[in-house]
Amino acid sequence: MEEPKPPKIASGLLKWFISEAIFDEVHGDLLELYRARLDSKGLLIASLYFYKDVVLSLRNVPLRRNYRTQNSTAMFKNYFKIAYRNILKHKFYTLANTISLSIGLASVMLITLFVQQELSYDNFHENGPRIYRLNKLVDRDGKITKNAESSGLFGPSLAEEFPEVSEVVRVSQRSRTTLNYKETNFKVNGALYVDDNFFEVFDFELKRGNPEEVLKLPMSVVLTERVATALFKNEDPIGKSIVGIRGLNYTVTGIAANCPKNSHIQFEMLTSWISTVPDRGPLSIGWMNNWYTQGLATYLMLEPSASPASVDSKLPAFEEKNIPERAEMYDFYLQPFEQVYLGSADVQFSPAMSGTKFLYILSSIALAILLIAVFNYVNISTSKAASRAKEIGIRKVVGALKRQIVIQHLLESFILVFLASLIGAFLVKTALPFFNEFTGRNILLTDISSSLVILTLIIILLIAVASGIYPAMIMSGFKPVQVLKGSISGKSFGNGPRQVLITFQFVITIVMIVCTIFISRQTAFMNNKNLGYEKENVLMTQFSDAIYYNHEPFINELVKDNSITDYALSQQTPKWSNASNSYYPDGIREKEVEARTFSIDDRFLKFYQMEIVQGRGFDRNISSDLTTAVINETMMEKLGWDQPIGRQLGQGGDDPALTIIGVVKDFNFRSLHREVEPIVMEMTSRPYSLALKTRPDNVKEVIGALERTWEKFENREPLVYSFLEEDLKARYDSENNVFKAISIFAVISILISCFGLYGLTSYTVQQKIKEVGIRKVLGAKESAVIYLINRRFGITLLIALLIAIPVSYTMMNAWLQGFAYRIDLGMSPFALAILITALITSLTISFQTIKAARANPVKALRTE
Amino acid sequence: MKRNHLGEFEELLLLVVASLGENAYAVSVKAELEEKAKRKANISAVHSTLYRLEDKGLLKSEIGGATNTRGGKSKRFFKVTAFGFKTLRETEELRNTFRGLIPELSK
Repeated sequence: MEEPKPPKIASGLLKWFISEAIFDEVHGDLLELYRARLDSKGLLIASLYFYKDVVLSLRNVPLRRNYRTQNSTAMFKNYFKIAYRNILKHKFYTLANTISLSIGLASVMLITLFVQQELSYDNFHENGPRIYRLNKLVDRDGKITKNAESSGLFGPSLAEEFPEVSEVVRVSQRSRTTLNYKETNFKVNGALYVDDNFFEVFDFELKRGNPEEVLKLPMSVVLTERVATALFKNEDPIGKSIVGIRGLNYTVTGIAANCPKNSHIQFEMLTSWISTVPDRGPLSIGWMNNWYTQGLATYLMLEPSASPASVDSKLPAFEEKNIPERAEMYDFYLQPFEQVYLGSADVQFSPAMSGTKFLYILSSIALAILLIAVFNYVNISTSKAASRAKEIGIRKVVGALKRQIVIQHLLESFILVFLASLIGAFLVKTALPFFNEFTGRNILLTDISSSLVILTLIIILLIAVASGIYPAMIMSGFKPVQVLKGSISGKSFGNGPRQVLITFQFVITIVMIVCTIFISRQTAFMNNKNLGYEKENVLMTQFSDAIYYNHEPFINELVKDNSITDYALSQQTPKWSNASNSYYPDGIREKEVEARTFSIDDRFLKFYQMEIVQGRGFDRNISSDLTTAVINETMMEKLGWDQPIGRQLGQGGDDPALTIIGVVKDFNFRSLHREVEPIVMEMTSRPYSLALKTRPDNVKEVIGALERTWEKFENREPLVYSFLEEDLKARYDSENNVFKAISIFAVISILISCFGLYGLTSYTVQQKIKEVGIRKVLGAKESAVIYLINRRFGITLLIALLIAIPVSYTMMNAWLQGFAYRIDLGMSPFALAILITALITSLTISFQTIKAARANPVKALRTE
Repeated sequence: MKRNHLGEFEELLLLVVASLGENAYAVSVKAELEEKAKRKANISAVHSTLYRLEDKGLLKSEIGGATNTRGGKSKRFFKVTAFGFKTLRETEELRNTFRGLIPELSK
């Protein structure tokens, strides 16, 4: 075993400070003590004692290296001493400065950590720059959307026909499944079907197995280490047979490292694609292996020399040849792999949709807070400048250069910023868990990269310079003769710029308050809007394969329990519907209309309390209802039929035409970002979603009944259920997150501004104390005095309002455009913001001014 | 006036060094101090006192004896000089002079 060594830093320090002649022996003595303690007290204690010994040795003057002390060293010592005294002398200002700076710095550090994490997504694949995802533009009646899905046969034949394409990987998601091995069950969250070259194209680490072979054969699976450990404990998983998707047997052929969290492709289990190919694999999933069904992601790796543009340009002809019926509607293009994570906010069906918007919002908020804090520093130090005038005068008289005065004051700001960043780092550590919670990330302090540490240090240095340079310039410009004659002490410096900075602080604060109010109103509006159907007290679940094939007995068994009062079955649900089809009005192909399809049972409309405006709903007792349809109002409008009942909608392929029997009022089944789309509802005999009605007082009983019945029919897959209302709320997660972030940071920025304002007023009051005294002696009222001091802040606030209102109006207007259903941009939030700002400002100021107005003038004047 | 009186800690260290004979260096002095006098002293205090005594001419020193436990660093061994012993004796005599004058302390 290697002997532990004492801390290197300590030894280094010793070497640096102790005179060379005796370093060897002193160091030797300390080492000997360290060894002795190592044996008796352990590593930690020994190291701590070593530090202590070193530090005490450094204090020992006779041991110290003999430096020739220079005048500048002495001067620097003096700077530190004066800085220290100033900090103590102006405790309140120091406190206000340090707190606001540390909060500002903490915000910036947090955001940098977050941005680092977001930018590092998908950057670990060596082939990354050559990989593209096949996306498409979908043109529906001139409305163009982006979409990340493609069909199963598209990719492989691209690879065959295009010389530029070297590899194609298809990735299809089956969200979850349960694995069994002997007695152990394990629920897997990310189960993907992938092509056999998955590990050659992507750099996901394969711990066991040959990357070229593991996914070659049907029914081969690769598990991540986490899953393998949970399932096999200490056994060797390779070659073992497990029960997985659809209750079939699979062979474990490889073990992959756990999926890195900064990857947009997330998996816990990979199944070979060949398993899904009809006639070749037992799973035989038709839709994954045809030309038309769009439901999977295709990744292309190009030849090193090939350009994506050349592939792009040949895609229309390829579409025309292979999918002629959709060539008009689809326009495929390549999206660079490394842009998938951040560049897919507007792409539908893309797995990780972070988008840069939230990133920008967070970063600008952090920047705003930092600016407020820096302005505080500048404001407070310039207003205090006069009190340092004598010191600077003396320094100049005894020969200080302007440059040296600047350095001195920069040093002071550096000390303060350094202190603040230490506190800030501590704040980051405390705030990180909360931050992770609302950003939905899992960022650790240890994730920080060394380059980011350096960047942070540079930022800190820049802030120190930025906040120190202006006060330093002002103070170094003092004329010693004036200063020492005393004619300068009553004056204040940098009034103009200071007003600008305060105005700016006010602007930021008001904008933030306005935004907070608008965002909170819009989120409340979305959560409470009447969607056109009953969303409360609805429990939803999806059938497993076993229950899907056996759902009628399952339902019959379930409704025996008397807690079940109402239920509905369907394929699509209000929260989830991705099927859409082409319909031909009166069977005429040229008039084709694209609509969402809802396959439902006869209870569905009544269950969700959807209003039927014409005709009737489905009836299971009328056998012809299997070829009928209920449409929504938007569809009716699109068809241009006032009396649609009884008219026909033709369908593609062999499907029979549908007779319209009813029209249902429009309802919002997707996020309120979008308008209602046309819908065609048909009756289905193959439902896989179940909705159950609950009452607040019987939720437990309903869930209990569901669980009992589930276990009777299904012994493998666990029951997963959710409440519709919560699912619907989750689709506004990004709005909710922005709201939380901005409201927290708005409060912080108000707080910091108040610190600055408070500091500033207390100083103004101090300066005006004699003026106030004289005025009072001459008979001024208290109210007049308060007016005198507050007037300037009032004007500043007014100017800030004039700037802030148009700015926030434009911002909020743009933000609200992103919602199809939105609140009006009324004036009341602005009024509220003005009121809040005015109130907080006057509270902050009045504290000081009232004190000044009430003070006995004799006290202020008798020293004159 | 020649100042050669000793501080309490200086006197103690001088005695320890004298009693340790050939093996008196900082670490052993510190150990002896802890064992016999039950006094905790930081190594740096021992160092500075030893070097000071050497400056005053009460101790002399030589380099030697690097061992593995010290990371191969050499030790500085101290010895009491003749002047050192003389000072110790003078201190002792001075004390005894006073003790003789105090009835409660003289036997």
